[in-house]
Amino acid sequence: MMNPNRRKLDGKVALVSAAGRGIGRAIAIGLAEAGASVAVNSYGEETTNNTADAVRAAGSEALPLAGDITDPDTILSTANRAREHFGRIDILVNNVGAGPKEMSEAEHHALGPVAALWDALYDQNLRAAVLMTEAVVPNMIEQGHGKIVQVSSIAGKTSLSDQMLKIFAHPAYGAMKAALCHYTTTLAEVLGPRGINVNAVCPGIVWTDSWKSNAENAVANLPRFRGLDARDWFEGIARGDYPEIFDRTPLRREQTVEDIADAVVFLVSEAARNITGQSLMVDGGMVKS
Amino acid sequence: MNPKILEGKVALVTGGARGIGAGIAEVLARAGAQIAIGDLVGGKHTAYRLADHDELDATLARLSNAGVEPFSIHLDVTQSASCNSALAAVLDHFGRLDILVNNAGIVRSGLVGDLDESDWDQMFAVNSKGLFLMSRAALPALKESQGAIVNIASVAGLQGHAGMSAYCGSKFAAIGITQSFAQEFAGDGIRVNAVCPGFLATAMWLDHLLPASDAEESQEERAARFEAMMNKMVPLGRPQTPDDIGEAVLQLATAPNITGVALPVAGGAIMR
Repeated sequence: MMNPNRRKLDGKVALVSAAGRGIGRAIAIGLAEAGASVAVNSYGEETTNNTADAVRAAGSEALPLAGDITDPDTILSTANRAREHFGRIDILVNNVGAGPKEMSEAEHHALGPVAALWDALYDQNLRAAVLMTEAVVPNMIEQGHGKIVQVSSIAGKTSLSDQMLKIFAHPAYGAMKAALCHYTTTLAEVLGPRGINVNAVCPGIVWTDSWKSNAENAVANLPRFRGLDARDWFEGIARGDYPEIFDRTPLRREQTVEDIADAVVFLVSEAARNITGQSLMVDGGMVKS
Repeated sequence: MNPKILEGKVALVTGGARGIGAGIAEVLARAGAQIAIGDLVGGKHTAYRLADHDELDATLARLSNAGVEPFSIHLDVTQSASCNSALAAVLDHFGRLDILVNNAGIVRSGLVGDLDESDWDQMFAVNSKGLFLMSRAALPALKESQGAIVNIASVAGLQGHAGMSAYCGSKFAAIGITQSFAQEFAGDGIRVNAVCPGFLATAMWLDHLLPASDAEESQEERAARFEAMMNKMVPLGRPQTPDDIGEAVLQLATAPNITGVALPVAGGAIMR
């Protein structure tokens, strides 16, 4: 007779990167609510401590580990400190990732800025997740079990509209997220026989810093949206009001950080013990997979 | 997730008398749902034995032990009249329908030269057309409940195999139907997803797909041989269980912003 609730994570230890706000914070809280202790990483002390407090409020132990998770030394020390404190890491969630900060400039320059953008997006979206995985995997192999989830994106599974790419999302972002999905499959293949599940979650449109800045950018710089409230513009995007920018979400609503956290908690739980190598879309039906 | 997330909800599982369908029903029941089982029970198939009354009774008993009072109805998903009357019976009994799990399916392997046209037709009738007939019957009730459909496709719906053209074709169709329904029903607030089971020690595998052995062997020996084969074929090194499929169905049936996906539960045998 199996455990009637295979979604519980009591006694498990999780490490979540970029968990200071938005999706990462919701994942840390979701894991804590399911019973896991959580090592919380984010760039700043304050955001890290805030999420750690939320983890404790959910009844779990938290270890705040602030630091720049794109830096290899910080990656290694974060993994080591989590392991030293809790004795092991059962669950790794690589939520690290970012869109480009200064895209429009790249259009006016030739190779220099373009190369810099690709490098920056590689560092933030692919390299950071890969290096953290490499830092954690040897011990997972040693202990004979582990769960890894990469937070990818719809942009890793489908092309975006010309308008989206021009204004908001550099092609390198999607390329890196696609690479992350592919890395997920090869890692799952290699680590399956070692008892480790590796999956990815692909969020659709979620009201995070990234979409907030898209929205602020849109209402400030695009003539037809000027004067509109940023949040209202985002809701319009979710409803499909601006199809030239984004028009492929059948459910016609935004996704929430809790939606993403729920998918992650499922994938790292015993309920999903025989799921590995998958990229689960949580996107209101945008990507047909 | 709230362990009783389906409290007050009603689920209909087709092909629920045994195997994967029974496992799905048990997981949904544990999550608090009232369960209706629709099954052909005692139907005839040329390749292997379909579910019988003893198996159905055992499943109903397990569901009762899980704390629900299951309702069972005779259902032939290839007949629209049967789908319509099964649906009416569920509504009559429970008053609502929140989750439709289109799990009924049959398999027959065979090289193209060896497949009878009737085998081909039957597989598409159950595995593909059945989704249409059952979902069409359930649509008004699901609109009202803002419910969800989960289709049980297969990893065979994502990749073709020699000797499996009819089954793979019918399961590819199931995924195409899932994606189309997802888009078509989204405006009505109904989500539609598919789960793609990999390799389970059910009748489909043990009584038909597992290659024949040279020596005489017991059911236990066959099961052990199946397990050893999966150890080599599947990255996670083990077969999947009906519970695994049930948990994936529960996840997709309750996730408010997931629609149109086909999620493999296959130990990594297929990755996407």
